[in-house]
Amino acid sequence: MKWVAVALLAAFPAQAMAVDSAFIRSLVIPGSGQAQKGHYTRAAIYGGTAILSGFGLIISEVYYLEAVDKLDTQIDTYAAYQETLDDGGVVSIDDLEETYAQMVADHDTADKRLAWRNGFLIAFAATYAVNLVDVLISKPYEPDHQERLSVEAVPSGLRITKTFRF
Amino acid sequence: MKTWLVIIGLLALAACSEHGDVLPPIDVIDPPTPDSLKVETTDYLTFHLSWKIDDPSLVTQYRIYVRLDPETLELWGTAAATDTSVLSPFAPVPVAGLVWCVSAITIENVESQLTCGTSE
Repeated sequence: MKWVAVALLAAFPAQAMAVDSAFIRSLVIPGSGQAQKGHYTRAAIYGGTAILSGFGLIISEVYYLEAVDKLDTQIDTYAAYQETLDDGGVVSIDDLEETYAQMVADHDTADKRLAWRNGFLIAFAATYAVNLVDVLISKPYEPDHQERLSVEAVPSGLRITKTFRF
Repeated sequence: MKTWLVIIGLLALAACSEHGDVLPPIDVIDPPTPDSLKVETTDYLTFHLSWKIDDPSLVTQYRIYVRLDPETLELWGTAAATDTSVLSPFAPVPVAGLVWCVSAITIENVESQLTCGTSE
């Protein structure tokens, strides 16, 4: 454990490792630490991405669990047919074939929904991680006193300049 | 803080969850299906059923079903050979147009598809 702490301290500058209030905010709500530091566009991007990926994660998890339930039902039914045959009972070939085909189809569905769920999970985790790293290494926004919207005369007419900050 | 740790832990657990795999197919011989089912009757109370089968050596018995209504197919008896006589489920009331079905049960206890027929 001590070596892990030493490695972390060596990997990041001491300033970056300092746990400030912006970091705590981003830990609770992605993007809120960036907002505190004045980076509103980045805050909106992190917050929006976290909400979208988190929502997608919940929905895809629900759909995945639903597919797993259906698959488990088919697996149990098919296993029961095998037990019935082992015990000397009679099983219809139609039931055997339909259940097997349904089990394969449900397995494919579960595979696809698992891929979606993992995609959202990775997106959510990546957003969270990048959000935390970003809030650690970014400095508070300092206005440079430059006009964000300016109009100046040029030989061909007027030039309108809009400055964005991220 | 604790809440988020719990959420992250749950997500990690969810990421580890995997669904079950497809079971291997049950290895059985494809049962022969009875065909050319003939249903004969003179009084609509007793019906004589006869049918053909491709490979009788695989079959231990036949099941006789009767359709009581469009959604109910009832097991009505069994037969050891490819013909048998059965009593109408509605006896002593004669009923025309009864649908009778036959399936074969193999030595592995697998039931074939049904073959159905009706008396004219």
